[in-house]
Amino acid sequence: MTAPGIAFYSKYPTDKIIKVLEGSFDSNDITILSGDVGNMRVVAIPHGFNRPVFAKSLVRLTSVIPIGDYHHEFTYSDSTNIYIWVVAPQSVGTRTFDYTSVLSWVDDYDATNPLVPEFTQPYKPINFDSRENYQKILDQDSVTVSGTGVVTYDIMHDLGYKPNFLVHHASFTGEVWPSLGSSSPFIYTSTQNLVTATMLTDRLRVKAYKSGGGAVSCKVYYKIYLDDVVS
Amino acid sequence: MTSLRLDGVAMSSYHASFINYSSSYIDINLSGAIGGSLIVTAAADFVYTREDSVFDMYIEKLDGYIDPYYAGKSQLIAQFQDIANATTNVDASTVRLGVFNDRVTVVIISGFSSVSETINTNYRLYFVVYDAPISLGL
Repeated sequence: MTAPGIAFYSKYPTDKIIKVLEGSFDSNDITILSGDVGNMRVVAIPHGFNRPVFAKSLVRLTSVIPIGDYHHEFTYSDSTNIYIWVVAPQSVGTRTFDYTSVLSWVDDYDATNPLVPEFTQPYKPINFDSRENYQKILDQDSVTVSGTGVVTYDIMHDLGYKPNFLVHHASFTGEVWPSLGSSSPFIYTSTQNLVTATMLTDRLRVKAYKSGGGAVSCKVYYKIYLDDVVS
Repeated sequence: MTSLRLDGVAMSSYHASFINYSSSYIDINLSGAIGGSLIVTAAADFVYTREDSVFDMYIEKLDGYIDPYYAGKSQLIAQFQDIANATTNVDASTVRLGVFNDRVTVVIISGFSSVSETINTNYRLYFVVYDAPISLGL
């Protein structure tokens, strides 16, 4: 029996979902973040916690781009809000967008773990089902990556396969942004921290840099799961 | 409402957790001319049973066009900028992922750029689909 093959293993924690936000927004709710690189359009939604959270968002962009109704959208957070990136601003108009954002916990953010209100959602009152495979966390922590230029930092896992993973970083102090692949389109100023993440069979490799070059010092939050990407 | 501590608890009965509903992959080939619209539809009915599922996606570039160790990439549709980067300078905002009940569609639209280039590249897309606690009601 292996840990990835069973629903729950008390040795490894699971992601704790602390809230699900649902609602809608329109063009009047958009905030434009402007910098020397360009603009980013986001919608701020209060999350009710006094520190950043991890967020996954689904947005329904009906007919804006004709490939389907539901889209994952880039979402970052600070201590007050989550910020959902809005695509195709020229097409927004007065259209109403529906969203659902699933918030999970940043363990040991600022070395604290305050009390969290319980969250049980009404649709699935059973929070554990042994028939299901829960995402088990092998390792979660934060590191500060510092240096000049593109700074590479390896986090070893030695699993022998490429597991699921999530990486976030402090693009600005007090904000937690998702870290993407070889580069990020989510940038509006050359001074913000950018982080990319690549998973190998023995390590998680993150790279921190600034588009304008020079020194970088960035807090990186990561989770490595036990589950293989392909089970 | 009860307030709880989450640190040190493997699973909280007062907090739902992500259920790994489905993990699988599909191979796609992006080939054709970017300059109008390039639409790639890949069957993935073993991945999606609902289009409102929360999911993570990882991209592996199979032929190592630029980066030979190019391995599984991070999550979210913005990852498709990797595809754009591997071929041309198409703005990431022009690359989108669509999810239907039984398939995944990749669309590269160059309407926001002046790039025109022929591409032929193989990718493997990994998906982890979650089953909790979503009921969108959209």
